[in-house]
Amino acid sequence: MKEIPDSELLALFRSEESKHYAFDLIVRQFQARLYASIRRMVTDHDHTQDVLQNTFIKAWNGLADFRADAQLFSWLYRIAHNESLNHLRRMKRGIFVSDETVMEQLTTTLDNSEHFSGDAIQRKLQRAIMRLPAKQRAVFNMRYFDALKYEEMSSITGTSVGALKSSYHIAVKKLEQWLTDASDQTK
Amino acid sequence: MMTERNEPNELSEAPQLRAIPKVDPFVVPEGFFERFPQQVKAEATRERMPWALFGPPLRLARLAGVLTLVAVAVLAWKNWSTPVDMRTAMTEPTLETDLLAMEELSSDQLYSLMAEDPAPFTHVDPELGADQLIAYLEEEDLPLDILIEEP
Repeated sequence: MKEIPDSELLALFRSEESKHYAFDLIVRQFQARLYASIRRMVTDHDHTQDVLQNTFIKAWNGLADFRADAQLFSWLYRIAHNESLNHLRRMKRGIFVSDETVMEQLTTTLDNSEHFSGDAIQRKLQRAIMRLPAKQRAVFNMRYFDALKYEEMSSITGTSVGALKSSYHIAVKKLEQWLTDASDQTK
Repeated sequence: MMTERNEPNELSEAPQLRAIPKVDPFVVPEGFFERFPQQVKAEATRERMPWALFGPPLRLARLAGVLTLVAVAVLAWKNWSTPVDMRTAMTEPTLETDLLAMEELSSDQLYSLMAEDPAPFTHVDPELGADQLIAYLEEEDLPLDILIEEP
């Protein structure tokens, strides 16, 4: 699918006659990337669908006020990021559980998911990523998988570039340690 | 969109991580991205229910309801957890102290008190004869000497 420039999508959305059509195009253009980023955070497909739907509903309600000087994808990514963190917070609040229990739930979902195609090494990596605190996991995913620039990440998370670099560095060190430990255990 | 845009030195100290191929292992159910745009558009454009307009006030009302329930539950629990003896003592706090105080009174003071509050004797029929009065006092387990007038 050919990517349509933000300016074109926004112009279509601002016209009452083409508003619905424009929204459809926006969803089609960004849904796969947003889905992947949410899925890495919440693991389960059904939860990902809920979070993705909330993201686009918020976008529908806020697009009229969207400032064209920002990138549409970064704006949507920010909503998706916040919705993912909110979802994880709700998981904690709903059943009065600790971070560790949420992590265990996510790992169990990962292990039992029929929608996971990774081999043993991918599973090991995902299990290690699940052990990171939610915000650090988001930073790692943005940089490692989505290859976002630190400046983009800063506008999404509202965190300084320096703090993001430090957070990513620490996440990489932790993961390396956990992967090494896991390899030693299997020897 | 998994490109190799990470700066090479970012993973220089992470050989294990570097060795793992960067792929997305999560599978999307078939046809999901074809169905989803229609589904989300229907949800986003669905007419809001009237009560949705009152989101924050409704939330406040809900909060007030919950607080009321908690207050009622606390009161009920306090009442339930208080021993029966204690409750009696709380409802009749002066009975025992009154009796003790009355023991300290002289007969004159006692009679004057009774004159102020004739209620205990109002249900006695003044037309009763002596035998009936004695029978009544025995029935009520009252001492007979209350009939003796002081000279």
